[in-house]
Amino acid sequence: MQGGAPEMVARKLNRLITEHPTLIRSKDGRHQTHHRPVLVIMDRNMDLITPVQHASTYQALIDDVLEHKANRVEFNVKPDANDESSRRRRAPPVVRKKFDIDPDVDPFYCRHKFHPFPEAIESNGVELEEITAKEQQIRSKTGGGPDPTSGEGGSSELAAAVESLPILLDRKKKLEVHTSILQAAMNEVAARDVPQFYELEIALATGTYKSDPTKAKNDVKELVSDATKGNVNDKVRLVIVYALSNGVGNSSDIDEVAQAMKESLETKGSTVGGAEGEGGTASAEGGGTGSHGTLSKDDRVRLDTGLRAIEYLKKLRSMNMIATMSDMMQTEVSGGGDVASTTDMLSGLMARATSQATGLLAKATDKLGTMLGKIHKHRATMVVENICEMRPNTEDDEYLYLDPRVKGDVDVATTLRNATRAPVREVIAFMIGGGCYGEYQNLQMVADERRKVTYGSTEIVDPCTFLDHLAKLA
Amino acid sequence: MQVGSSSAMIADTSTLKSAQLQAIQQMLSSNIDDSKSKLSSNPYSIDNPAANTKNNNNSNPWKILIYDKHTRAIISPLLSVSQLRAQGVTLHLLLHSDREAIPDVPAVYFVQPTQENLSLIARDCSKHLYQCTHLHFSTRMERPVMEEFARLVVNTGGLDNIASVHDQFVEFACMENRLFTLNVTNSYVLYNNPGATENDMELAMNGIANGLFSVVATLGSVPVIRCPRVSIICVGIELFWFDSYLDVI
Repeated sequence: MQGGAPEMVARKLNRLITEHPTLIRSKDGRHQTHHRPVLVIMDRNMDLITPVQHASTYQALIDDVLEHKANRVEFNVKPDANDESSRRRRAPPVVRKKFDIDPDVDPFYCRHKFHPFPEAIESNGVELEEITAKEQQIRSKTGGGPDPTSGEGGSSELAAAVESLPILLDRKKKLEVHTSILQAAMNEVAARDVPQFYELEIALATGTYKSDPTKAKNDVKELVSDATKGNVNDKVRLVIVYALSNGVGNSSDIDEVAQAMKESLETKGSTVGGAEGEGGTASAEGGGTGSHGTLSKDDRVRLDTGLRAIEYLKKLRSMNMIATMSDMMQTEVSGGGDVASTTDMLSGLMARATSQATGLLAKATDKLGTMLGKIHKHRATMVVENICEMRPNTEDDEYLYLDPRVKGDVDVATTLRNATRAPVREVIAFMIGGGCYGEYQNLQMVADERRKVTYGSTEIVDPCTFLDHLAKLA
Repeated sequence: MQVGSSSAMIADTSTLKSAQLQAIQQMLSSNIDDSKSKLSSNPYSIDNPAANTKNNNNSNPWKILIYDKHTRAIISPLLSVSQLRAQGVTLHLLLHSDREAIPDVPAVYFVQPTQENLSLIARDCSKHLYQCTHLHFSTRMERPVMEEFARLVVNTGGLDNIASVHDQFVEFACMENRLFTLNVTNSYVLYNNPGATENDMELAMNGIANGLFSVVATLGSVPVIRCPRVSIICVGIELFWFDSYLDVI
């Protein structure tokens, strides 16, 4: 029944709506008669790259490298090694931090969740500086203290300034929460060389290597065999993206790359600790506890899981059950600046940022001309866009068209539907089999001032969890 | 009891999240003025006048919220503890936990209509654990399940404790204004597993369709549905197969 899930769900849903006593008649008739929402139901199998590939935007990266669920983010903060008080103790305590960040309420998060990570870092620094300057200004006016009584007798301007202080401090506090999250994410990103994985994966998925499969294989092999780059899951994810990229390798190439990764991990191990929140092994492994050169128990499990996931995808591939990836992602030419230059800027920024561990956030001043995450359109985004724009000879023609207001469980004929169609103002993109923040962010490209895109899925899965799911099917 | 306090937090009133929040807030205020509430006009709501007249002259604005793990995941991104308190919820507890009797406070149950949940509710009602019981199910209760539950409640003497029963159609969790999940774990495995039986598949697909129906019902407008069709070659067979499937439900 491969590929039948969306249609089964669509027909069942169609029936549920048709049989509902009030839904068909109520509300709907009153408003939005011309602009009915379009619900696009898709199958995860149409794009398996997106849920495993590395992310570059703020929210997606939080979900990838930190523990993040239902708008709560958690991570460990290791105390500064140079700090006197922590050096005296034998085992410096690791502080567990938890933050609830509501993307609809938190102004910084709301503005920057879809932005490239470096841009979020930069904006956080700039905004924090501004707010600190304002705070200083008010404090100096009031004689160094936030004491409101000292403002009495002064101008009303002063009183207003004092009144604004609590609001200012609240905003500062919220920004500092993000500084802390950005720092934690940055530590993971830098320790694992995430940008290198991101860049190579994007290059593979967008067909940069199409004419040179040997180079593709060698580049992937090199990165997965480098013990200092990426944790086990990072490597597995890269191999999966390689395996799913059409035209850059055949089954034996995938085996070769997977084998290279396996051998390298077994002989050299990985100097990069496990991901945050995957059993909390990061601190134990990172410091070279003698496990260098061999795989830790957790990493062994991760490798075995990863290899099973690769096996499953190879099987799917051999049975032609997954879409070929030549058109997996589409590069937006009009985005300004080509892929290579923007991704280079990302590495550049990361390299510089890591070299200057202090003042990291304040000094991240690199300007990224384009929205990194917005350059490539993922498969789901292209499908939804084709349907919204009613493009001929695309999914808009191919996809089933069910209208609960048209009696019966029938596909509405193309000629008939086109006569009544108005511009799409509201889309609900739904993914069966699990969605991810990267896809959510990418789909917003279809949205504009007049069109809203809502994204839903059976569950929201982070890349490592999705690897586990794939492995279960091997 | 003013309900509006927490609704101000979402400016955009046309999103899925704001619509769901509205439904949940209405649910939480339903024991205050049941007779006037809009829910009474809902074809999926049943009021029990016997229990209501007994309890309505009580002006207690406080209530207890009982949820299960599934519905907790729906509420928690929508309302914080302080926002729940603003709604009059002084205590929120898991259905599957040891709960002490609080006979002078009404309870709002917001749970999935599973057999297990229903038997726990019937037990609570027969013990008159709370002043009265408002039942809100996250999705439609199937008729046989409903009938069995009714029998159980009558037999165990809990009927006079039940003030109202509502189907809510909120079987999805909104993470953001325009982001939702059905919170189905292992959803990729469920329908790609070659070992899955037809029955497993059927259940999984029904679950997803019900979840999406909740989304549509909450939005309140009928969408056009688009999806990839099963490959052209076997389309005839598939259609036949779907039809026979649909006849079953």
